[in-house]
Amino acid sequence: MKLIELSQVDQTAVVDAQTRVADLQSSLAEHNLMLGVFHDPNSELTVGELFMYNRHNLWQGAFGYLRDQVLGGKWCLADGTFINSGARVVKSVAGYDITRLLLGSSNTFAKCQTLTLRLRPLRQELYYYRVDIDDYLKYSHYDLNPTSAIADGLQQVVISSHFALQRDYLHEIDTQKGMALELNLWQNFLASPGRHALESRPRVAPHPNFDWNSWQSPCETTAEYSRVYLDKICLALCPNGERFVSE
Amino acid sequence: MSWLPQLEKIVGKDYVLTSAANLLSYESDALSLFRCKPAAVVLPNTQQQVIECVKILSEFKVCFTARGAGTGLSAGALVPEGGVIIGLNRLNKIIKINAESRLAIVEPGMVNAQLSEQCKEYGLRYAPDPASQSVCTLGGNVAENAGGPMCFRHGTTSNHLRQVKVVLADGRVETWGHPAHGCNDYDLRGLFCGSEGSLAIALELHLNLTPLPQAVRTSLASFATIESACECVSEIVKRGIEAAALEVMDQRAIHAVEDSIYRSGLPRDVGAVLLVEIEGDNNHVDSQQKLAARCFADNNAINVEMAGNATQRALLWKGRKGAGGALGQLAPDSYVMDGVVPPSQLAEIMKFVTEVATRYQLPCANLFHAGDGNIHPHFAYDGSDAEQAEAVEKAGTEILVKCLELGGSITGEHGVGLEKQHLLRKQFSDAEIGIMQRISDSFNPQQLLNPNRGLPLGSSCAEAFHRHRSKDSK
Repeated sequence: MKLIELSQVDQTAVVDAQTRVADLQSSLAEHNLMLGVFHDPNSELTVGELFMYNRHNLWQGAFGYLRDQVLGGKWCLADGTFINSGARVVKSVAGYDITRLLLGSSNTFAKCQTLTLRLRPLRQELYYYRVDIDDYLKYSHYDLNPTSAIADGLQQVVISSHFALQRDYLHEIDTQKGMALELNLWQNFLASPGRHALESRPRVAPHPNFDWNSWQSPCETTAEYSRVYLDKICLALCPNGERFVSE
Repeated sequence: MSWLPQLEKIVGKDYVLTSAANLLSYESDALSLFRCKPAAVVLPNTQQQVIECVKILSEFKVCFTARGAGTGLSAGALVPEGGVIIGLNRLNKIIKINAESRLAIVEPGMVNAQLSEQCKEYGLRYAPDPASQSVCTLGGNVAENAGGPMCFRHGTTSNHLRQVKVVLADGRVETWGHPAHGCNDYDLRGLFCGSEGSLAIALELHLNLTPLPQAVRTSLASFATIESACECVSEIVKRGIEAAALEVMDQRAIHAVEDSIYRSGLPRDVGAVLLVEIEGDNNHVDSQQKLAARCFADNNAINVEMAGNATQRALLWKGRKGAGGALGQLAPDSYVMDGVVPPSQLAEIMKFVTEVATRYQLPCANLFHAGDGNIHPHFAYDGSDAEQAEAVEKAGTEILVKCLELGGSITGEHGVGLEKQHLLRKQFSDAEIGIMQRISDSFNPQQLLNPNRGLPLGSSCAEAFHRHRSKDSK
């Protein structure tokens, strides 16, 4: 685990890409901070893997997409050059946003060395609520910004929130520290034989904005433009033509 | 200008402007330091007309740039002499609002505030809120990756753009991003956002909508000095209070507001005010408000005013939102700077701004997004006075270089435009700028579309833009 720099007041951290996400979260918690990303505390997933493969952020409702958590980075290009992108502040529009281009590129364009991350105040408690799918569809899109929403069976959704919610249509089921319940639900959901039935109703699970194809193959290049620009961007990064073998 | 009749054929004669009077308002954006009159302005009404105009201009190798409301503050939407501006204001329709998916599909000329207004009936809003939101367009917001007070909590435009349909410099049309989640792999959507119109022109935007909060608490704390207001901001962030907005105004800005039509009853005799807005569920905002009140007390706030209802809240915001306009009335020209420092360095940069303004004998007001560390020193000056104009530029450069020294950035939300091109090499290495230049060339190989914007200009290009007004043109 290598936390290279941490600023509690500025809520930013510079982290080695090889750092385990779980280790990073534990370390940040000591400073009352967290990364706004759902993670499995037992997983070996590293920060670099998380962001370079742009996995789905189950906590997107509260904290946004994965890319939104990254302010900048240090990268190694295929020709051995090291470059920096972005900035160490939460807002910077100087130059092109190379950071967003490189994140999610599955190490095709560059190997991630360090990342500068935007952090959030630590919220240890998670409040869980059960809601009927029909009520969820009827109200929650307009009314709530839950931290996550996971279908539990075909009829109900369990939503989590870092803050207590009070709505007539929500039934509180638990309040606990850590994400054990959420993790359990998510793993059950992925293993659920009924998952395919839910896939036909993508609005309800696991999040209203969730795209089923994304988690099944998060780095799959699907769009024509990506193929067209792949070579061009590789050449822009390394004009002599060196490139990483596509993963 | 053999291309002119062809443009007239596409959009109609009335929508191609060529007279000196009509072109005058297009010779600069809201940063009047840079001026250059275009050869023509074309005002298409449909996406297809934009595409056809681009194809004609590309065929005739004429430089062109897209422009929204012209509220940009970095001279980003100017063309060199002989170039054409494609005004997108007539493409101002909402194509679709899908409330269930919290998605709005709009044309780029749609005004920012109007989208939020239209979404209210669904209990939704468009979160990014630049100060010019009542007039600025969403296409311009995407080009600059615009921010605003609420971006401290909700993020800038890039966080809210899921998908964009664009026309490239040669007239080809592509769609970047994904309507549900932004982007999975190669994020051309993210690259495009903030590229200052130099990679493509937006035709259609798919934007994220955010639920309106159940409750909002707005308070205004007064402090003896701007440094103490900045220290209070650091304390609020450090204690984990998740404010939606943290806005600071100094005494000069307060006086400008109170002497203008934006008067909102701000206290004149204090060094600075801090506007804090907290939003969320009822019980959450109350507990956060209590924590904020403790920070005010611990940082020696002179007075704290709480908005008790929506009218009082609107009044507190009226002063902040109108401050830019109020300051613009102080002198013939104004220069609103845009730099970023880590919030922990706010007090330090404010001391430096005061020192620089004193040294150059320039009146300087400060109003800024303190939570993000995004400062906006505001110089009121007379651009026809060469000495003053030069002093403003020198002072601005010193302040932005200091922002970099303190670990920040030369721009947080206004963009590089023509204004800050000379500073890019201080923030990025030659290798990093080389990559940006080659990416620009990949999308825009003939550099016809907003040439080299947001990147360092060659000296011959820089000379194409006239700085300041001469006394004769006043």
